This record gives sequence, structure tokens and C-alpha cells, in this order.
Amino acid sequence: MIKLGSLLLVLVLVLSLAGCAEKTPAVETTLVVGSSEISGNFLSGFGDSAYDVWVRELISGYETYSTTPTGEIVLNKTVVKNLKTEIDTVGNKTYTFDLHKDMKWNNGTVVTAKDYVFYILWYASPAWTEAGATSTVGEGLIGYQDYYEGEVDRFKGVKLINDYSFSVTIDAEELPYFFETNYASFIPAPMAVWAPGATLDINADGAKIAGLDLVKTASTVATTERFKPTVTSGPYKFVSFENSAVTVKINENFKGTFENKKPQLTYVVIKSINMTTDVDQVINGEIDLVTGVIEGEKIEKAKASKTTSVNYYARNGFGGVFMHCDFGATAIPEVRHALAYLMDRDEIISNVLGGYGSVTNGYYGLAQWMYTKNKAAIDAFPHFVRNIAKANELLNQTEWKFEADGKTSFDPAKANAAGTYLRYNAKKEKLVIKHFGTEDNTVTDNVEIQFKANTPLAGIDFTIARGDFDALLDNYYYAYELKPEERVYHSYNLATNFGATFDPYYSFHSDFLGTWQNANQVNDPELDALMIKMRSLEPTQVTEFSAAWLEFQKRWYEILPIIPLYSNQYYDVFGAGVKGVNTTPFSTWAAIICDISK
Amino acid sequence: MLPGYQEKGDGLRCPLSFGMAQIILDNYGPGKLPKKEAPVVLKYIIKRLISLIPVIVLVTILLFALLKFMPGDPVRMMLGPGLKAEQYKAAEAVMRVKLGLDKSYPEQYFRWIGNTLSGELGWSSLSNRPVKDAISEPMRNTVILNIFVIILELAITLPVGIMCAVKRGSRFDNFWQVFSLVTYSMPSFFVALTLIYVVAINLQLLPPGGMPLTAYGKNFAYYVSWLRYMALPVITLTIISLAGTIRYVRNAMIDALSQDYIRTARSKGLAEKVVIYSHAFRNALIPISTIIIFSVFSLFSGSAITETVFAWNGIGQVLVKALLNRDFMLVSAMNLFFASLSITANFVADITYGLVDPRIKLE
Repeated sequence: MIKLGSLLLVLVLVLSLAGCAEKTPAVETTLVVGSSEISGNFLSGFGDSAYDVWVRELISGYETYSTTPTGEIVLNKTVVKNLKTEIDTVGNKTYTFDLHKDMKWNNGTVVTAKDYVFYILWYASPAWTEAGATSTVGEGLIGYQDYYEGEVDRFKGVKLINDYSFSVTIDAEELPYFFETNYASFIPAPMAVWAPGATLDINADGAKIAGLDLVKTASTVATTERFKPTVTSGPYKFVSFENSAVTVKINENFKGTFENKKPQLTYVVIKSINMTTDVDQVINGEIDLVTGVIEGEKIEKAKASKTTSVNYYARNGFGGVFMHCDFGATAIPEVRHALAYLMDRDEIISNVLGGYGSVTNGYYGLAQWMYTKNKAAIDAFPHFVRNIAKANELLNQTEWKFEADGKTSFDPAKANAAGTYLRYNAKKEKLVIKHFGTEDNTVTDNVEIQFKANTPLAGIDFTIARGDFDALLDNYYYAYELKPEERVYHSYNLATNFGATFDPYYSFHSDFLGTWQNANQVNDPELDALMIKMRSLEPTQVTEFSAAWLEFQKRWYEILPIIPLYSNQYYDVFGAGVKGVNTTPFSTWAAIICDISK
Repeated sequence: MLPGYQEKGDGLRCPLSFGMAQIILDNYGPGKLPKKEAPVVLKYIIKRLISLIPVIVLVTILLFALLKFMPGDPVRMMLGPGLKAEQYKAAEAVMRVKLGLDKSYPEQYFRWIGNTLSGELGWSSLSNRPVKDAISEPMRNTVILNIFVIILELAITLPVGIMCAVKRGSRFDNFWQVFSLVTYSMPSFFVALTLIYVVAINLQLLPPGGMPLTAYGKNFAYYVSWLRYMALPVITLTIISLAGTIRYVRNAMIDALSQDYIRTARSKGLAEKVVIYSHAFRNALIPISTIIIFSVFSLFSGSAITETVFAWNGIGQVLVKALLNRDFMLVSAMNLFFASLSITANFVADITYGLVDPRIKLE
């Protein structure tokens, strides 16, 4: 008994030590950011986890083109001393970059043009693909396809001119392209570290990495630097990834961002937490910042707390019901529109987002400058509101306008909530919609409730299946691989986000039918033409782009491959002592880390 | 010579059980006790080991088949959308070869078995690194957590179980019976979330989850912070495990206390403490040793729910993520490991039981 008592006493003493042990007082300033989970892939090309991307944003820098907080793509004059562009006789466009000579890696060595050329050659090489990476670096430059596929070992469109000068040549076939600067946006890669002993071999046929076994070297980098990048160019340098937390430390040798800003915090820690209690952890000081909070209850709690501040912005994207336009009933535009009239979207915003969101009526984000410019026209699009009569009117224009006998006209007055009176076509086939949603998802819950209540009133046999997110993506992106009789689902509730580059060509153009890229399998010549028109403009033709964007939105609305349901407001919640968290839809907290202090 | 027996001039004295020795002496007479020979035990062990081989083979086949029937493509999970279609095809082809998914199922199975036996657990498609690297840190975290849970569990269940048996029917016993029933029927996430709500969010005494930060270096404060972050998951797991174990200890003690040799011991005038701890408890310890052995082996098995709720980077959480992301190599490696642990634990428990209890013959 005495022994037991002594043991308990010791335990109490140790636990009280632990309880009293303050969160270790930082000698230097540290920002602790909560995240869901970090995969540990800190080089681009290995997964797109948003949390890994934060780390990459913190440790990478010296990009030739930067994205401003308002979504503009600008030349980074901290890096580029001088830029010259010229077009040859066949229309190929060459960008020649003269770099500043005072950029340094985190280890103090100088960043040169070789590191930029090496970056392009490395990321576009088949060796890097073989190492398990995926990349589009170098796309659009002449000779890219041959080099990427390993047909040739030299990249024609890349040239090293001298230690502080290099050029890239964009293929005439890719031009004009409104976002052409994407083809000329690069960061440096530390050639001396990733490929020690290698040289760049430049001749009239292009550039190549010489002097090493590239396949073996790429494989080594993919298993070492990828998890522990040692030499980096960003405002922070990698320290460790341990206990589900990434620690980065200030890079004293960082020259500055495109706005000539330098980091102010000593350490930044991105820590995996249970996201259910993310705001609570900021409130009680366990962490300093969580981003992208959308739940109304949490937002209210954060606003009410005296120990936290918030910053909010409209999501540059939206959530909706994504439909296959090549399968079953959803192949018919009238059916897709009818489904849109069987939803009360305001109810979703109220129930799911707690009021912190708004409806959209097209393929756009509320933060896009194109929307701002064309707001009046866009807002004039007919809004989708719950309208059973309208839905029936639309469905009566389709083949499903009969009763079960395939002859008698469907009478909407007979439709009932029990779903015993449904629509059929002349072949006596029922109008069926099968939806797939993720489990533990309030959007799925609301979609289910609304569709189950409203679709029977329009004579639709609606069913919903639930599964995990990977199963949903598998079905959504790769349904085209199945035979028609094997296909099951017509619609999914998903969300999409836009970047600074708005180019829906890859998502809706018929060039990508039968691939995962055009997952909705949209095949509309008019929409195709509008997408080509939009992208085939010079970067300076801003007004024309805006006009083409509006025309695209109008046609997209008519086709409606996706029913837009909501666009959230994102709230970033941070401790009262944290300053400068002016995140925007185009700039994450990591992208503006140099503005943040504590 | 039976284990635990000492030969004395006037007969046998058994430190384990006075009464037991007396009974055996009465039945067999001095010097005539049956002796378990070491070769018999060894033969038994070898026989058991050989019989485990088909069990393990069957387990591996079932595991492999289950994982292959799971829907989802690990390569698609890894690559995800984001590439142009042709680039995706090229990357997919490379990844299939790398993961060995271009081979037939029997080839994949034998390749997997061969690699596992040679220590190569495969490539984790979720974390894009060897499975060994992907699980080493979570395994360490789980073992550390479980060590504390086991210590706490045994420190509470043994004395409480003994007291419940000794004071059977008393308020103390009734309280713990009700407590056991309640906690036994409570899911672990309920306990976890309640603790988070009360202790972490409302009282703000402990963090609601996560792992200690290494940003400030690994000094004394870092190791102490481990206790802060571990406290709630340890308490959760301990509460959940108390229920069954207390009842087990209690029942084993009740059984031991009802034996004749206990009556004999009391009639000889021995102090109650000696009767309980030197005689009853020592005999009750025989079945309880099974729990201890399983607890030791359970050091390596993570609690998926608790670790997920507390964002504790343990093997249970990793396994859940691996399952959701169709990381077949990691899932198969871990499930094979757990199956082997379970088989081994049963085997060790059988052997230990036979060695500790002289009444059991290992044949």
C-alpha cells in the first residue's frame, strides 16, 4: 500500500511538472500553424497535398514570375534584372532573363542561371518521371515533347547564355496564349547538391545535363531531398519533419520576395492536429493559426473569442453537383437544368455553411477579377431556385415525358413524395439519377435530403450512394474507362478551386474527351470555340479576355455540366498576437509569410 | 522436479502454493512426484512452431486476397489528377512497374512474401517511401503510448481487482462492477471526446491532441511535453482497458480464494495479508499472466480511433490512412505483422501457462 502510494505520488509530481511546464518559452518567435495531415513530400512533383504545398512555398523562392495577392502574375524584379522577348520568323517567342547577381541559397552559395536551366532540364526529364515524380515544367517550350518522352536527350527550347543569363523559347504552336508567362515561370534548383559533378552541355540543338547517370541521381533525390530538402531558395529553410510536424527556420541569406520583403518570424511549425478542435486550439493558445475554416459554428466561436482575430475572403472556387454529360439521363442538358431547379441552394448555405457563403451561377470564383468586371452581367443570369414546376417543364422537353406505359404523357400533378409515379421514355426506361457522395459530409447530407424530397415530385428515381473520397474521385475521373453497362453514377457532390490562371480548356474541351481531364465528358463545339478564343489572346488583351470570359460563362450556363451550389467564405483564425495575416484567395499564409509577425 | 518446488529433507515445499504442495504430497508421496523433462517441453515447442506455419501461410493468403479485392487503385491515389493525359499514362506505367502491380496476382503474392521475409516491406504509395521508413516513427510513438497505458492499467487493475475479490459484495466492489460495465459499453471515441471537451477545451489543462514540438530542440522541456500530449490519450486508453481487466482479475482472485488451500492457510493462523498475496494472488496470477503477455504484445498495436481523435502519430492512425488511401503495401505489411504478433502471443501464452502451472502438461 505504501509502495503504491509512493508510486502515485511520483506520478502526480511528474504530471504536475508536465502541467506546469509552460509551452516552452521561445527564445525566438515561432508561428505554429495547424493542418490536417502532412504527407512529407517537400519537392514539387510528388502529390498536391495543400499542406505539403505550404512547406514548398516557405522553402522555395526566386521565381521568375510571381502571383500577387490579387491574382496578378507579375515579373519578379527581385530576381530578374532585365527581361527581353523576341519573336522569330515562325512565331516562336524567346524570353531572355538577365538575373541579379546577389541571390543566394540558404547555405550562402550564389544562385546562378545554371540553377534555373538545371531546374527545367531536371523536371522535364524522363528520369524524373521514372523516379516517381509528375511535372509540367517546360511544357509549351519548343522541343518539350521529344525531351519529355526521351526521344532526344537535349531540350531545344532552353539555353544557358552565361552565368547570369538564360533563355527559353515558347513554341509558336502554343501562342498566342493569354497566360503565356506560365511557360516562362521557373524557380532554381540546386544543381551542385542534386547533381554534384554534373555539367550543362549546351549547343545549337539545345541543353542537357551531362556527366552523370541521371536516372540514378533522380532516384536518389526522390528518396532523399524530397523528404529533407537541404539547400533551398525560399524565406525559410527546412529543419525537420518529426512527430507529424514540419519545422522550418528563417533563411538569413534570402534576398527577398518580389516585393522585396523578408521573413520576420524565426521559426514556422506546421503541425498536424485534429481539425474538429482547430479553432479551440487557437483560442487556448496551443497553436497560432488555422486557415480555411468554413463551419459557421467555429467562425462564430472565433469571432466571439477575445484571444483570436480573423481574416476572411471569398473562396476562389465553388462546391456543386458535378455531372457526367455522356451517360444516362445527365447526358441531356434539360435534365441537368431540371436537377438545378430541384435544389434550394440558400438552404445549403444556411445549413452547411452557417450563412458564411453565397451562391454562384457559373464556373467562376467570386474573387476573380473577371467576375468583378462582369458582375452585373453574371448576376443577371437566371438564378436556380427550387421550382418543381420549372423542373417538370424542362423534363417534358426530354424523352422522359411518359408514364410507365411509354405512351401516356406524364402528368406532374400526379407526382408524389413517395416516388410511386415516375417518368419513363418511349422505351419504358425509367428516369434514373444515381448520385455519389462522401460519408461524414454535411453537403452530401443536404444534397440527399433535398433531392430525395424534390426529385419524386418531378418523376425522377433518385438514389444516393456514399463512400470515401478516393472512391468518389475514382468514379468521377475514371468512369469513362468503364463500358456503358458497367457505369453506375451520374452525379457527385464535389468542389473545385481556381488559381490565378483561368483556363478551362483542359477541363471542358472535347480534345480531352475520353480522359480524366474532361471528367464531365463535355462535348460542345460552341463551348470549345469560346475556350479557344479566350485562351488565344495576347497577355495584354485584358478587355478582350474579359469579354470572351463572359461569353464562355453564358454558354457554360446553358450546358451546365455542374450545378454550382455554394461558394464559401474562408476564415483564417489566428491568435491575437499574430499580425499581418492578410491572406487572399490567391495568396495562402505561406505565400505571404514575410508579412506575418508575432 | 516440478517448477517452483524445492526439495527439503522432510518433503516438498512449494513457494507458489503451500496447499497445492500438500495435496500433491498426499497423492504422490515424497520423492514420487512426476518430473517434466526439458526435452518434452522442447518437443512441444517445436511441434507448436511447426503447426504455426500453415496458419501463417493461410493468414497471408487471406490478407493478400482481401487487399486485392478492395476497391480502388493505389497508383491512381498516388498520382491523382493534375497531369495531362499522356503524361499521366507515362507516369502510371512507371509506377505500376515500380509497385509490381504489372505482374499477375500469384507473382505479386510470392514477390510480397519473398520481400517480407528478406526484410523488404515494400513501398508505401501513401507516403512515397519504403514502408519501413513510413512506419518507424509511428510505431515508436505507439509503443511509448502503450507502455504508459500498460503500466497504468496494471497499477490500477491488479490492486482494485484483488480488493474487489476480497471485499466481494461491498460498496467498493459494487462501484467497480458498475464502473466496469459502464466503461466496457462506452466506445473509445466517446471517452476521448469527453476528455477533450472537459479537460482541454473548457478547463484548458492539457492540449486536445497532437504531438510535442521539436522546434525548440530536444531538451528536458521537450521530454516533459511528451507527458502533456500523452496524458489524454493514455487516460482514454486506460479507462477503456480497465473494465475487462478488473473483472478478470477479480474473478481469478475469487476463484483462488475459494480453494481449499486458502481455508487451510487461514486455519493455520496465517495473516490475512499473507493468505491473499502469498497464496491466493500468486495462484490467481497464473491466468492473469495471460493478460500481461497479451498486454506486452499489444505494445505494438495502435488504437486507430484514439490516435485519430488525438492526432497522435501512431501506427493505428497510419493504418487507417493507409486503408483509406489504398496503400496496399503498408496495410498488408502491418496486418501481417499484427497477425504474426497475435499468433506469437497465443503461442507464448500457452507455453508460459504450462511452465508456470505444474498441473498443466505440455504435450
